[in-house]
Amino acid sequence: MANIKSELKLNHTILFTMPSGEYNKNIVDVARALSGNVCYITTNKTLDSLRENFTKKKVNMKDIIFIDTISKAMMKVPDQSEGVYYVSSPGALTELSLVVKKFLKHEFDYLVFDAVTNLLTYQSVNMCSKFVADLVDKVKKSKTRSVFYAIESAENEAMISKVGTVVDKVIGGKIVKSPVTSLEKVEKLKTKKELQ
Amino acid sequence: MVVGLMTFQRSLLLVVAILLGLVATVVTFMNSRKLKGDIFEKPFVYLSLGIFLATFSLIAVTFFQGVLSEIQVSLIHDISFILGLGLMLVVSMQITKFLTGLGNFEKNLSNKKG
Repeated sequence: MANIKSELKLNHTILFTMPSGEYNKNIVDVARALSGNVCYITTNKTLDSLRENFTKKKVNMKDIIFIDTISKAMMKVPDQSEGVYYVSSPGALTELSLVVKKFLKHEFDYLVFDAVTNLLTYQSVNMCSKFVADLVDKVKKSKTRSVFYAIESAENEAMISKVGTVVDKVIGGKIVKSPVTSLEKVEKLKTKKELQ
Repeated sequence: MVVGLMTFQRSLLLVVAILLGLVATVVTFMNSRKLKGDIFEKPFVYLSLGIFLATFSLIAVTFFQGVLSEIQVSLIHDISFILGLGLMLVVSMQITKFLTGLGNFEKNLSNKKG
């Protein structure tokens, strides 16, 4: 059990491991908890799918800039559009590394990497862990705090243990909701006040 | 000045140039395989092909003169050299396009923040 925001205050980089069944709930909870400028790298779901998910759960996406590594590999999309930069494929680690390096100059408050274990579909464990180690190093040199997601499974164990050694802290399980209330709750509170 | 086999006869530097060209072709192509799926995959394939064609123009002008007519050798040399350089130009344009695109996106981010 963890409060992601307070963990990020104490640690620069966090590896957040979760079972696949809790993945959808956790990504929404973390996105809600992180207020401020966020750079969200997705190697798992397309941007449209993520946006749909976040919109349903009323997550504020105004301050989130996405790096979508999935859409371009599946369909024809431009190199970039409003609030999103498309990378060729999750396996395009050189390209992704260049893009992230450029983005980190903007001193985002948070960087979310969804999910490091998904890179294994496209590259070897060694390549992926080298990439993540390099990324962690870049993040540590900036002011940005970062969360790396990892899905717990037998095939991902080697990757999780390698990445776990380069990040500041490894946390697992469910997220404790931050005292900062979600948009959904704020709206409910507003209507309650209006009724009174 | 006529360029031909006689011009390069017993030239060690020429052999070195051709060998270097061939090695560069193979190494660049192997690097392109490492970048599979990456935005740099295509430019690297083009670059290896470009280097190969430029090297081939050198091979043609040096070794084909005894076998083919002067016009044929000259045509092979010129066309492969032009195609090779053309491919290298395409590579340069593709890399520039990627870098400027990324730079523009970053600029837009700065403008929004500023």
